[in-house]
Amino acid sequence: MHLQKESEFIQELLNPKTQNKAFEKLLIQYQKPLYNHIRTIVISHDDTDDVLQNTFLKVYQYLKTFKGESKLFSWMYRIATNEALTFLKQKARKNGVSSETIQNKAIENLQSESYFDGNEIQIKLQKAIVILPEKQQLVFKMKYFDELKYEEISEILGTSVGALKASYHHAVKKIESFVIKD
Amino acid sequence: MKTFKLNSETKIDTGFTTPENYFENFASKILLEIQENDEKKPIALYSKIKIWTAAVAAIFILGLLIPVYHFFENPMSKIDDKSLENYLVYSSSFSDAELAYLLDNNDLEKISIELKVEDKIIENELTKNTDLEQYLLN
Repeated sequence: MHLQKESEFIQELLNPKTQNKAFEKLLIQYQKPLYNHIRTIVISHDDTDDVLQNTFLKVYQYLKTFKGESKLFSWMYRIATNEALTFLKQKARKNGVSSETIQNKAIENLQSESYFDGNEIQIKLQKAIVILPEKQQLVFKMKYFDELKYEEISEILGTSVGALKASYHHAVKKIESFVIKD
Repeated sequence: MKTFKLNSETKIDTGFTTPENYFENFASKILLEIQENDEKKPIALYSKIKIWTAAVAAIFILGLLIPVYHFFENPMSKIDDKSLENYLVYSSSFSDAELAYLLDNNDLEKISIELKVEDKIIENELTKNTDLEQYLLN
């Protein structure tokens, strides 16, 4: 995920003359990892598509306010995470249920979903993840599925590496015991 | 006893897939949407309110500043002493008596001018002007 020297690339993104070309580069570079990250949160492809669109539109809209205090990658991941969680909460509120219920429903629908090529163990793993607290879910998904380093997760979630390690350890234990019981 | 160790097992992937050419189409779709949004560039209601507020504030400040500007730019402050003297001498409706009342001895000394007039000229003037005799007698 190495773009050219990041500060130079950010300047290209902010310069009206080079902005469009640079944004296209950014889009091509990050659309897949952000899609995968969002999809682990909202589960359905159609919902992921909506959230991913909103994410990139927000990234474009707020580029001017990006101060370079964190890496571009972390900043975009943070926007994607917030968009996905907000989407889940809004959908839950609209249906008068909890976010967990919405996620469970999406997992139940996975087998009939056209864009899922998994088996029972994958569905079981998704069901196990949903029972975790929100923060533990995020840490587990970023570490296990997105294969991010703890340092990267720390920058995205603003949590210390030590706390993240503990969180991941607890998540794994809970998932393992869920799989054995079920 | 059944055991399951997540980190020892073969990695379980998500199983999520996407429609064919999804990412190629997605990039084009977003770029097009951004281009359309840039062309429309609607002014949000909040921005309109901000513009109106700024306009009202600007008019109010201008209204306050104009009298202040006039006060400091008052032409009276730029009149030099000579012009003022000339005005008082030639154009004002002040009578000599009023001026004498307003000016004290010091002022009069300051404005007194020494005229170098020869005696002969004075004599000639006195012989021509009979009215002067009246003044001299008084």
